[in-house]
Amino acid sequence: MLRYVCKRLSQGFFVLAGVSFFCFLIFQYMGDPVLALVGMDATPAQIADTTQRLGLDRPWYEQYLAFIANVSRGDFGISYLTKTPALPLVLKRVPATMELAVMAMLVATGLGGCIGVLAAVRPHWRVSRALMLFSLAGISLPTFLIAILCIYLFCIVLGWLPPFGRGEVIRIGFWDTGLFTNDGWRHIVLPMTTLGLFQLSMSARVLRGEMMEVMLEDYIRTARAKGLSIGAVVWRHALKNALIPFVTIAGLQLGQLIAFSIVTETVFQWPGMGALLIASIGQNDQPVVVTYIMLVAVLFVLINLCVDILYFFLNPKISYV
Amino acid sequence: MLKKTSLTATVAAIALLCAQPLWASGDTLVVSQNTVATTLHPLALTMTPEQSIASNIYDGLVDRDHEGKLVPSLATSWSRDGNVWRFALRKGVKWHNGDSFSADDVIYTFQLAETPINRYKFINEKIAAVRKIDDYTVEIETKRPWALLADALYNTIIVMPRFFKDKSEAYIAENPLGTGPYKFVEWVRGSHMNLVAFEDHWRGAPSIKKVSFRPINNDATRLAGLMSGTVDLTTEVPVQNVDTAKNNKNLTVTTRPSALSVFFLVRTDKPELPTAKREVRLAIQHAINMDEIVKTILSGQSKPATQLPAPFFRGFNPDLKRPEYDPEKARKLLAAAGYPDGFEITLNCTQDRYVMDKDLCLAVTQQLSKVKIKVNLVAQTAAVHFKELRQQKYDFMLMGWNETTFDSSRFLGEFLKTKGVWNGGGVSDPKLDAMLEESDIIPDQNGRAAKLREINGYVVEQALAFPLHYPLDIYGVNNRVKGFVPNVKKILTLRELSFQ
Repeated sequence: MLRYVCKRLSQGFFVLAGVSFFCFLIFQYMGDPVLALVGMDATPAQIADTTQRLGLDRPWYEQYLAFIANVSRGDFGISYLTKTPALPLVLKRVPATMELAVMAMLVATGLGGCIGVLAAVRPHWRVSRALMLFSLAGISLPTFLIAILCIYLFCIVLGWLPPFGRGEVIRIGFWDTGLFTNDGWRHIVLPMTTLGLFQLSMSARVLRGEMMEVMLEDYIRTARAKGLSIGAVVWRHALKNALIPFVTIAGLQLGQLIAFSIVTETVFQWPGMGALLIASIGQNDQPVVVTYIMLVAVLFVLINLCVDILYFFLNPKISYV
Repeated sequence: MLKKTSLTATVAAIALLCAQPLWASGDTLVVSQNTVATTLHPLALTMTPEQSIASNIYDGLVDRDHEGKLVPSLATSWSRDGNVWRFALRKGVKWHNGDSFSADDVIYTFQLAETPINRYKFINEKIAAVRKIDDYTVEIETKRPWALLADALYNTIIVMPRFFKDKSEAYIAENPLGTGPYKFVEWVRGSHMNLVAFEDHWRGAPSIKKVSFRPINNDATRLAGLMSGTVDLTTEVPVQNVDTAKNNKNLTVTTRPSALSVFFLVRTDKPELPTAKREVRLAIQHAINMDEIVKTILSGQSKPATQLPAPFFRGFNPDLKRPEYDPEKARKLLAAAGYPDGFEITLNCTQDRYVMDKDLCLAVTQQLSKVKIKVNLVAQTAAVHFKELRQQKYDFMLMGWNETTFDSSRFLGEFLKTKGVWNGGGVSDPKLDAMLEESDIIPDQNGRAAKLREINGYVVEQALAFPLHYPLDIYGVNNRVKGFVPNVKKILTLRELSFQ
């Protein structure tokens, strides 16, 4: 097992190297970092001086090697715009994004799971039909549209919830959280729901399919025949067996939610990594963009590793050696 | 049973959450601009929202009033004698940390401006020396006679304290300390920046004591913030939503002409291109119906432009007129120039920089097709557009400019002078170059203005660039805020505001 983890980690290392190379290649075709650094009013002398200082006059492979050398020392460079180191800039945004993604995942798996079970157990009931229709809307409508409709309804028409921001946060060690304040909850409700909605529909549909299949199994019929209540059969027998593929999907969803959060964060002005990425791309702040991409790549490698290890615990028959 | 109680509890919790009033702002003024501040290092500010925040924390030697006229700030008066400018400094000014402001701070500011990150090097490059005469007098000597020094100092090299002497750039960027009406309190990037009134400010303490800047990128969300009352003051109300905002009883929508000018540059130096000919360039202008574009695409929130500089820039020529919209005349001009069947040209546009930029270009594309000019439209993100424009890769391109000095000479110099930094059209007109250089050495500003008006006339006559429009700045203000007057460069002067 340990050997497997080590092997996967070293593979992850190659993935990161590949990602960094790809990042670098893209930047050759992006806007002018010198312009981002010295601004619109820059003089030709200033542009030449900055180009040299950044090493942008050297061939791209030399620049790439210098970049790798710096990154291996934990130095992701100084943000062109903020004039402060790029890594802390991105790291400070992690709590907001993670909180939003995890909460959205809870919405997606929790609520989505319930809808899925209901739709499988009582497929002809009007309520479950309505819920499945609603989940279809979740898949087919783009996030930004749902977000704006929600803002219009809950913030302008009803005036119940604030339209933007994260509200009051409390600092616990290195982590900023909005989950322990009333104000924080009022701010997270809309973003987490809109972000979770797409995945909710996915979860509901997957679990419904699995459940319907399981409900046809002989052991379910036997359990019912034994006189067990429908609730006991559904929750204790059917759901347990339908859950394995569902859990796998849920794990992978977290990664997707982090990626999707870029849109949600922009609409709700959620102060997370996604909002920072969009702002940095718009302003051509390359060190911040690279740091974000590398950090998300690390996150994906780790999530995938965790899912693989989870497989092992869910089904010990799988051998990795 | 369990299910029921938890449901009741959830409903109760939601009801509780919603019971709180949304007007949480209370005694805090909430300001929402459209981009997040990235840095507060006075020398690294470029975007207006940052400059707006900084101008409430820092002061410059000079300031501008609502109409754009230069007025005293930390310098009470200034005079020019050839290359030497003498600034008399204000007495009794305190920094936010209690230190007194003096000539040493000004000297230090110009030393600090030597840093490579300074975005206003074009000013430093013209300065030979900065000297302290006494505690409240400094002299700035320029290398050559330069009439624009005082103009150029507005919102560029703002005065920083000696306190920064042993501080890093990263520290200065996140811990601003000035002489302005508001003191810096807290900054959570991407979320908010809080300021508090500086009671010892030299103009007197501001009326509103607490200010929170909360940037919102998304236009719809920013408008929602304003309409729901969570935001008191915003810039950049989207043109298509102005009417919606106006219908809201709690809001006032205020506009004023901005310092921005949007225009097309066109290749004039390649003989093989039709646009090398003046007749063709005039034809293109006659074929563009700007009134229509302003009315339909910009929802009337703009003014058609007659020349590159905006109306309150020095050298603006009020006698100039836009070439009237006349497709028939355009066709005749094209035929006379040897293009009776039109030609094909690529138009490069930004899609995220100026108000409705892509839509404007699309409309122009359609209008030009009526005179048989086939336009291939390429819309890109501003960062790429600016890079390639400066590399002179385009034939026909959109551009906008917000001139720092409020003076036509530098504006035209950047875009139309031979080897100008932004000369994307490769314009090289010896007569224009000579006129611009001549204007720079005229000592008296009225004389310069006259010369600059002549130059603007020449640029229009030769059709060296195609002026399009001067957008309006559109502000949304909650009615509980009194005293808001928009400024010429979208700088928010919060010290003038009060609550009803």
